[in-house]
Amino acid sequence: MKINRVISSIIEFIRGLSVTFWHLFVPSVTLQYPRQRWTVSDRYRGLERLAVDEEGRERCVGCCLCAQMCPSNAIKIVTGEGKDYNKEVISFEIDIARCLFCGLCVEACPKNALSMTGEYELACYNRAGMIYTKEGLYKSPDVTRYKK
Amino acid sequence: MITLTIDNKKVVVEDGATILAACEMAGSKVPTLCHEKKLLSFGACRICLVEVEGTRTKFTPSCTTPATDGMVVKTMTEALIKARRTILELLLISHPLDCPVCDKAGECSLQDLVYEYGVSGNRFKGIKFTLPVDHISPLIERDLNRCILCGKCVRICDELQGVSEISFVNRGMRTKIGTDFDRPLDCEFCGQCISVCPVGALTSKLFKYKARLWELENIPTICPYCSNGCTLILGIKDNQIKTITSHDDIGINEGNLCAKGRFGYEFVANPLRLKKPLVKRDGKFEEVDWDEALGLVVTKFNEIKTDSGANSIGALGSARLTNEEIYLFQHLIRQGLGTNNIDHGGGYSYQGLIGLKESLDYPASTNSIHEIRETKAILLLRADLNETHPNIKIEVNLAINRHQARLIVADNKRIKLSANVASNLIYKPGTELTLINGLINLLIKNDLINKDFIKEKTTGFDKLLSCVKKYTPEYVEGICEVNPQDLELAARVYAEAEKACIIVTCGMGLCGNNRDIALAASNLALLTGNIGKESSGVYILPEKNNSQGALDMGAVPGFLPGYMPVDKPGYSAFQMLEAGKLKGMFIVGENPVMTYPLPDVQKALESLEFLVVQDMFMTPTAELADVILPVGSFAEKEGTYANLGKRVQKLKKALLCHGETKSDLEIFIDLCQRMGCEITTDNNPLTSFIKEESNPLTSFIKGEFAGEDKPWKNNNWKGKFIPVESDEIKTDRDELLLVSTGSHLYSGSLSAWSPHLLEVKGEACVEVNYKDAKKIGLDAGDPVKISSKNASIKLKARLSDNIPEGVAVVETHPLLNVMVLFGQKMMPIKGKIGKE
Repeated sequence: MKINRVISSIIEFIRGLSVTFWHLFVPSVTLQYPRQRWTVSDRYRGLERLAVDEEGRERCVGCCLCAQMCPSNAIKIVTGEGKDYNKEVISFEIDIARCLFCGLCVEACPKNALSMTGEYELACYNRAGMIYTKEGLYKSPDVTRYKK
Repeated sequence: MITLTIDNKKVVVEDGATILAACEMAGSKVPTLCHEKKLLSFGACRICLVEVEGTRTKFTPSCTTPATDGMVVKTMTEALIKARRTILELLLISHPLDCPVCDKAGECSLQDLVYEYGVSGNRFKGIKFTLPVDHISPLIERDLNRCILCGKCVRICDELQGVSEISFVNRGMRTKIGTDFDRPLDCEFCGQCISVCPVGALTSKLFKYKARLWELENIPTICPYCSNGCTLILGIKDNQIKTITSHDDIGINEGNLCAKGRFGYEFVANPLRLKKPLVKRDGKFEEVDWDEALGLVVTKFNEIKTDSGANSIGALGSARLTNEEIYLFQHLIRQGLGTNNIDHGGGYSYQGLIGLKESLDYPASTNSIHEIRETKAILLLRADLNETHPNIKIEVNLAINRHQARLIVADNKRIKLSANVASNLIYKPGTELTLINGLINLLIKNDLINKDFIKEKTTGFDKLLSCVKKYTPEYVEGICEVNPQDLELAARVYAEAEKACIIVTCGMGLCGNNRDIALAASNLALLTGNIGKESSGVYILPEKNNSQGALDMGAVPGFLPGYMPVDKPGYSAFQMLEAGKLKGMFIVGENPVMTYPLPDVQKALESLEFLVVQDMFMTPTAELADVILPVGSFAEKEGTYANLGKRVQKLKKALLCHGETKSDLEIFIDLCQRMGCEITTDNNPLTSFIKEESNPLTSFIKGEFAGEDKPWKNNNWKGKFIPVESDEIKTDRDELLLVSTGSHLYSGSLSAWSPHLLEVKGEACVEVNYKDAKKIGLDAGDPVKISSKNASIKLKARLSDNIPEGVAVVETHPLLNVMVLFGQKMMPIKGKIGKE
């Protein structure tokens, strides 16, 4: 009885090792993160960005629907009267620390001004850095990255 | 009564009610765009269609069709939904879909209906209008491209405001709402058109692009301007007032507001507001903390009290404080400092109410505001309501337009309400008493008086009889320059109406005979038995939001709170401001340098040893102070205001304190404690203070409607006839008779700090007749120097047909003290106008 147990445990041990051994010949799936980067899907919901139209004008008209839809009150918009009596967006802030990346703001936008990018590296050194202003949202996102 | 069936539900409505009213009663929602409860039915939009069984037409517009007995109405069928959807599609042909930038989005009736009826596309194609947007008119922006031609703005401007500034222009497809020749608006800027516009065609410039309507927190509170006591709804976002709106079902104003109520909120967020207590050291103000400032106030006042006695300290309150604050202020002055030298409003602005107290034993308007609209005759005695109490003007317009009331205007110039009067009495300024005595004489002569009422309910008729004997129409014509036929007509109109009321305004900026005018008005009302009836009586319209409360709470030298007699009356405001009389003064919320008719106020205040000013802004009076205590505005405090109908209404705290300011109440409580006067404080100081004393105030403050115990309900009550007369003022040929008119709401304490209101108000002007102007050689807009024996000031000339010859009307202005011309008596005065 004892010998049987020893033999079966050795067999199991070899079987287990064989799985490990077999994996030496399978290509690796782990990303070596700071040095290697993941290409996200087109539908990935990362950092928001604001868009301009074909003539380079800001698409956002400051209707505040995104701010209204936001479940975590992450968006703050201040509007006022600009040149030629038109509506001007004075400031547009998204607090990424509060954002859930649910995408409701993008769905609400009637002007297709707001969209989500594949940007997911949003860590930064202080809370103030988590607040993205209008300038930052119109440019390509300015995010903190690992550098060699 | 009519019984009809609506959506299988039986309802009973009054005769003459429309189907729409019946539907509302039955709880069936019928959409409307052009219907407004306070306006007459119009039937422009056709969205309120319903199906009525047994009629020849398929659909019936419910807002214009009267309900009839046995009607069977359906409000929501497939066919109706289809028809309404078509109407919406037709409206959307020309309506721009700029909801993301439209300030009406969120409260837009069209937007709501389009969403409710699921109109997502449009089967019709047409052009959108490209009319120019009116950016020039102050305060109101008109974008006619968004207009759906419901006509509400036109109707409210005409029916309630009586201004008729805008109307339908052109016909057919090109119809639009506009002014004559498309000029910019030049009206009262009440903004009533904005409040009824169902879409974003008319919007407020102050709110333009400031916030979206759904972001605002709506807090109802009471207006800080006139004594009507309208309820404002403050739209708050980020601790700032973004807009002011109104609601038809909240407050006594039924959703109506005037320019100051709707647009006069800018002073709250004015960057010039004081934030910290200031103490003057070596001629310069230094910011200090509250403890130091209040400590200094107490030690200085105590020093003066021990050195020269309590009577060398005086205090001026303000009719803009809440009841609680005024009560505590007079408590502080009387108990803490031990003097009766307390007054407000120059000591004369409340005299009209005192006059009513003397004759009727009731120091307030005798009836409530809404009773005006059902009266049959109205005598406006020196009451330019468009300028002073715009919401009372609405009541007068309602009485004339809906209840066939007849209007008599007695004023020293042609006013806007003079347009549809039965009799227009333009008298020589300052001769009001002669005019009323003349009317009384005519009533007695023509036997138009109510003899039973005089016998049972009044005393002193004989005295009045002997007094008015000499005031024959001819004599009155000699003094007042009023046509005897007009006078006779006015007497008949007033006396023959079954219900008639008299409306008098009083306050700073008007002639100083407030008490006498009130007595004359009450004589007239008593003579015709118009006291103690519904929709009649005498309305004394005081100046400021809490003028009534300031008097009730005893901020006067002669009365304690609740009109209890005082042992030794203190100095009145004018006496206090005589140079050398006082050593220390405490001025709260008043600006004597700018608003009092005394030329030497500045000198008197400079000669004081110690002056404390409690105000929101650095006013010319505050600049003379030794200590300035900054306070919160109406939106930053709680309390109650009493309006002219003695209705006590609560203020709500809507904003956090501005900087380090405190409310007046907090300051008074602190000072009371430091001065060692006894107070008990709990959460609501007012109730705890007033509970202590078993005085009439307790009942005053208990209910929201005070004043239900009107003295004439008591059988033993008797009204007193108190005859009043005045001296004649004579002018030479080359002189003009100067008179000031109340433009109360621009008295300056709040409006001077609201830039957009000042824009509407324009420059300080003197108004003269064209003929006089020709004699002097004046053109419109010329700078002139106007001088009386008291002072001389520089103004702009305005020429007008509304002013009788020989008279020059000086309007009060927020940025200029015109009252100095008139001197302490405040009566019309001889003066000269010369080109500058």
